[in-house]
Amino acid sequence: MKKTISFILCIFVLLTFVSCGGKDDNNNINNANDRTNTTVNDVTDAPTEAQTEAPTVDRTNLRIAMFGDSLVAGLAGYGVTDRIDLFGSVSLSTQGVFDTKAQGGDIAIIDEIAGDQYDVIIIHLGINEVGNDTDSFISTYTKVIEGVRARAPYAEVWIHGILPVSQGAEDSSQFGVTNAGISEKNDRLSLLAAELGCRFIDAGEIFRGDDGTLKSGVASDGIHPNKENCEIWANWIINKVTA
Amino acid sequence: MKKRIFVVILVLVMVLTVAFTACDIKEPENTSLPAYTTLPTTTTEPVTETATGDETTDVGESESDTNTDITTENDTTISIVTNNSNTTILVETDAPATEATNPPTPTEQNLSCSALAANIASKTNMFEEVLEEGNVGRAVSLFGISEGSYSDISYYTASAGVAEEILIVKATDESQISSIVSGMENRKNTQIDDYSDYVPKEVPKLNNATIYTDGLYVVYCVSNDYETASNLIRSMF
Repeated sequence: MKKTISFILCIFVLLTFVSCGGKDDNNNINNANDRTNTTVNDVTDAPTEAQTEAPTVDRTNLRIAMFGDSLVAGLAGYGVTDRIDLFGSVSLSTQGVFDTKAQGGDIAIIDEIAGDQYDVIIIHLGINEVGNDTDSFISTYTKVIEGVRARAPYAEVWIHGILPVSQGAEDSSQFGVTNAGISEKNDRLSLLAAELGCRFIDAGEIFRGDDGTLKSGVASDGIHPNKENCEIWANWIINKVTA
Repeated sequence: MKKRIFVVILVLVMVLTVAFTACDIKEPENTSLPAYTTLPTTTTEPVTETATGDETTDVGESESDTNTDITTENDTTISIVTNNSNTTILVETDAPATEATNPPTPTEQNLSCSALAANIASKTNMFEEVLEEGNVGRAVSLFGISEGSYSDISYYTASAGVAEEILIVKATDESQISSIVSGMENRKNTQIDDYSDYVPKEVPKLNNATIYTDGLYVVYCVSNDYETASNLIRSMF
């Protein structure tokens, strides 16, 4: 009899822990370990009644931020979108994000995205470091991602590839900016994203010509998109994020 | 038998308790960092001072400190101050109200900042890139212009590859003008710092930036042709 009651009590305790542990993931849409487009019901334990009723995340209303270099500053300056909060600074590098302010800002650019303000944070860096050693670049980029995760642990972190430049810009560059160098760094950024559980996107897929350079008419200086193409770029980003 | 019934009832009670008891797992509260606040308005001494003197100085070419007053036929005083390669032009109307010409008081001016800026931007020969209408909210932030200090504003910009831009502000009253001018000076200096390393060829454009006031209007223009831009801006008011 005593053994029976003890057995029943053990089963009771076990069932209690099982039912409590299964309700943990219902509302965690910003799980730092989940980098793909998934629904809310990412449950590995036995579902309870509450979990089966949890809604799918509507990505159309995600709060988006993007920080980076002069190209992001250009997006901000033209005002082509109010769907993305933009923080840019000319000549910004991966090392500078921790102490450089965004244009018009009052705090370090990486601190602009801190807290629980955003669901998706996109990083756009690299055009000012194309001529630098790739391993060093990836190393500091990793620290940027770690810094973002420390400040916004529940946000998805996306890496945006470096946009191509025109042949003219490549020929006249005094800093070693070449499309071959851009491709090399983008390849490494793509691997980094996979390694760290980030998404990788590259608007070069709409701006890059067949010869691997920036399409004609995108940027007057061959590097920084004009207003029309900034608008195209912003909409492309929004479509990628909300898809 | 009674014991068995008791055990069965006990099991049923436990199962029902597990099924209907809610386990409240509270998500950790995220403490947000302090919200980003808007830029404080900086007030500094007026950018220029009106000085006496009949000397004339070629605008934009002097490298020393010079103050020049030019009095026009309608007693409008144009003060040209050159300081460390920076030239600022102030226009002050000193004509008394009884003057036959009766020049419009600042409150009577009703020029559209948007139209003024569009006019300047349309002169593409003055700029290296085509300037297009930009984000006014961003401009307010960039230039540190406080809400409530202006009644009209327009901003034109190019890509970040050049420092060329136009900002035209109509102040709500004369007391706001100095702070708006200060904001423009700060913007110019910040751009000089940024572009010195980024695109050094833009620095001369910034050094020759036009900051011009007429009545309640304050104009900021960074162009590739300072003299043409300055003449155009003066002619618009």
